Amino acid sequence: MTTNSKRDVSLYIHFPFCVKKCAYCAFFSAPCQNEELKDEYERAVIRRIDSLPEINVKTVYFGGGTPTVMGSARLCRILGSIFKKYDIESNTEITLEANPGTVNAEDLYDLHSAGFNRLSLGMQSANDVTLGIMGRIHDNATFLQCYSDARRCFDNISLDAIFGVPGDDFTATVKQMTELEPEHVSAYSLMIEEGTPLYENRDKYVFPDENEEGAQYETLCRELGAHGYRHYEISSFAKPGYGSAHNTVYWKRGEYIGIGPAAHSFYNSRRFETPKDTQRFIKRSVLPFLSDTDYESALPLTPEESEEERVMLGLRLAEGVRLAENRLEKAKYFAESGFGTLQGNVFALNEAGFRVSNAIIAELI
Amino acid sequence: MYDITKIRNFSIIAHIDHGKSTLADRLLEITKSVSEREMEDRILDNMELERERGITIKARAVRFVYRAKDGEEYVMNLIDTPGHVDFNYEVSRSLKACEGALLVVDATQGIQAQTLANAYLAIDNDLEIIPVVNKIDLVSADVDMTVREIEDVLGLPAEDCPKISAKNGINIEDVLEAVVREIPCPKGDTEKPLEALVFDSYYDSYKGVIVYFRVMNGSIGVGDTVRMMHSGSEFTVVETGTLGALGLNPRDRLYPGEVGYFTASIKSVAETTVGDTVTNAANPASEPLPGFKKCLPMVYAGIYPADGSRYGDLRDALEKLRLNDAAFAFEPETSVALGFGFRCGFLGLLHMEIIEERLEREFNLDLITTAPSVIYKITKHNGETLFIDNPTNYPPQEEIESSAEPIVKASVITPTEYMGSIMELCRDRRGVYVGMSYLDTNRAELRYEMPLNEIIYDFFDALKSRSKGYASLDYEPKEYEPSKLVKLDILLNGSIVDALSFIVHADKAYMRARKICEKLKENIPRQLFEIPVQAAIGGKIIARETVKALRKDVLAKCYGGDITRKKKLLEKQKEGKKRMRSFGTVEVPPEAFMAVLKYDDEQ
Repeated sequence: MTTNSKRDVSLYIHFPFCVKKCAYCAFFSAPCQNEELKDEYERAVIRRIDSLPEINVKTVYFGGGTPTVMGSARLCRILGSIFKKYDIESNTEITLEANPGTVNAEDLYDLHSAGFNRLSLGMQSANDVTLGIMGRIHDNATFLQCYSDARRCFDNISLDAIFGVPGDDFTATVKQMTELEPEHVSAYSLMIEEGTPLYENRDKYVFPDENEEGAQYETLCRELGAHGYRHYEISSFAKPGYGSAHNTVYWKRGEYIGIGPAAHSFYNSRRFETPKDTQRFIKRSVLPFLSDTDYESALPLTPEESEEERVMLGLRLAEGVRLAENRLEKAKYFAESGFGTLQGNVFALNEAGFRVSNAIIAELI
Repeated sequence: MYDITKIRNFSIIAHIDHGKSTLADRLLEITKSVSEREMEDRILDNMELERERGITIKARAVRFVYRAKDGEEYVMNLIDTPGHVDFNYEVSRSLKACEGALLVVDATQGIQAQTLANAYLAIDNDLEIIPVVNKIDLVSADVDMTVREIEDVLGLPAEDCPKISAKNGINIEDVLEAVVREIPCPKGDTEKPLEALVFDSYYDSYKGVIVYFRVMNGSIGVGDTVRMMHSGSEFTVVETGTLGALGLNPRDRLYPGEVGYFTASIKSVAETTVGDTVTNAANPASEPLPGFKKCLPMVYAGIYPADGSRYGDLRDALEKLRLNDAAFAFEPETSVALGFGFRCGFLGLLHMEIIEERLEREFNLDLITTAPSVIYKITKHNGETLFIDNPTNYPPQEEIESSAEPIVKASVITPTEYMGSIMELCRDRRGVYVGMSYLDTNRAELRYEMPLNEIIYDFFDALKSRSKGYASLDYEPKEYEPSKLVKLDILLNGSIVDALSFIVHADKAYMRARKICEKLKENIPRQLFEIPVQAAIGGKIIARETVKALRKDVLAKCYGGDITRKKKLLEKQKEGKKRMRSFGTVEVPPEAFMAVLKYDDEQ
């Protein structure tokens, strides 16, 4: 049933558990060794999936936290409940986030067999000192083992990397990624957010300045480009045909439903979040999906807001975004200044533009 | 019962924080002029800002009755005075309305610069001065030393003067007894034509201007037609009366020696300026009272709304302030850089600060203020003389024959341990040493002649920082002296930003130029393009810095489709942009303008 009137909606399942909070993490997640809680959480997620509206599932993404802390059996059952409720085409992208040190070869084999066809691995850095500063639970040897285990079954792997970490020049990380040849790479700069251990200890470190970070980003873009990756989104690089379909839904403002505390949804022109409270989520999982979110208080986006979002998100993509007439003059100015290209009404940032995209987007919207 | 021999008119003069207002409170309390509950707010300082800063900005007066130990009742008129050098003229008019003054000296601090300045003014006005040593109950008080200082430095007998604690109500009655005993009663003739001295006025939205005056001769009452002898305006008096601690007390007629108010539906304080003489239009005095001066601003600065759309609000606010402040002047000006704003004239730096603060606080405005300027006197080759208070109007260097700037006599009182550093500061600010004298073994007064433009820049802050806050400053204008002046322009991305231009002594130009370029570099955020920051004199670049181009901004992950963080970040960036002033493609935050003015002692 693919040619029907059902709307394309992506699913995001959030797992608010991890082994240990990373030093930079400001997201909703907490260490969990309580097996009963994990069971309850599994049942709650499955109940919630059962209550979802009729949709055409475009992509599926299990994220966190660290989903793999749930154990592969629970993750497989949750994915199974999605297969039970919806007809999912075989080429539908189903991503699982995993962190080295939380899955072994057997787990990975089971997960792949259950239907996960894309694995996003939190490598973050090839430098053990850097991993230590970030408070990661793994070292690079653990990651390499995990990667080779994953390679036996997964033919679509994405690696996450973080640059801008004190004392790290990022070259080892870039080199390792080009050697391992994952299908996809996501790279972000380290953000020091209030309330995180890294923030509390910020005086102990010398953070790289804008110039150094800029240089790290340039190295990344150059090396990945030279190894056949397409820089298709500001922080994403992919071998041809391996761009992330799920993330592209975000950038192109497709609809998605988020399940779990702190999960975000974009549905019926509204953006809303499920409250950040795991117990509350479990208790209310018997209720239909929309009654357990901030849906009611989230007003539908105005046309202006939608348009601003479209430009803000669209400019993250190398293919660019179509601009309204009133924005073309500024876009032309940026194109002429070497930050991008303007073809007809479509403005796209180039690498120079990506680097300073916040400044440019702020000018354009 | 009107009896001129039972009237005592006096002021309290003191350095800031020496306890003037507290003493005034106690006097009212002990004479039961107000209850304790009503005392909660200080009566004499009734502007919010004054209460916070603990200083009196505008004079007020209050009348109360004291039953003295001789069994007689005396009418006391306490006339408050502004405590700062900027308001010297207003102080002198308030003193003119009195026969005596209480000179309050803090026993922990001794004589300070404004104690001296005020005491000299009082002596100059032939007042009977009663020293009052305050804060005697503090551990650090040195009463004997303070008494000796008063006797040595001011030549006033102080051995038997009242020694009090205004805060804790100790020996307050001594003060009142001294007033009755030592301050002479007023003199005046009821039969002569009316002569009344205006020492203050303020605008009331119901009654119009309320004029405070002291009757010298004759009388004034409801229905009289009076004339202001300097402004020439005539009014029919609607209401007269005396000044109670808690409000106006209407009375039909006032006689010589009395202090009171009148109203006459007057629309602006500009018509009833301080120092003017009120006389009877039908039976006028032959001469106005001596000593009238028109208050002229000495310091000018541009004031702009940080948000250009609030120009109208700023104008309304300035107009409201001017209703009550005849010395404050403004006119619209336009800056290429800052848009529409106003050129404002102030009596001095404190006056400027007070106006700025009231605009921000009472009218909720964000302001951008340009560098303050004095009035320079420029003579061109063609013989034309210009008075320039705005760098924008400074003629090209090649047209200038000669230039001159205002000089002030400055007096700094400081603990001797900071003397060296302060002398160095004064020299550095082109001060010419005139003399010094020791007040006691620990403190000295330094006297300099100094260009006013050096004082208005950041002298006061530097003085405080070099003396750990102990040095005090007073100054009075002297005259114009020839000076080598140049106009310094600041260029961003090659274009002059008019609001940042200023006039400076040629020898100081290079150093100031370098500092300002550095500060702008620090305060202008990196943008998409490199921005040269330059300083130039008449087209010749003398300093340069570069704001490097933005290299990279943060790439944050959109976890699980949460784009709200990203949105907020951009919202913030947009908000920030709104505050910015654009010069071509360069955007400058208001902080950058402020930073240029901020004190930065290079030590």
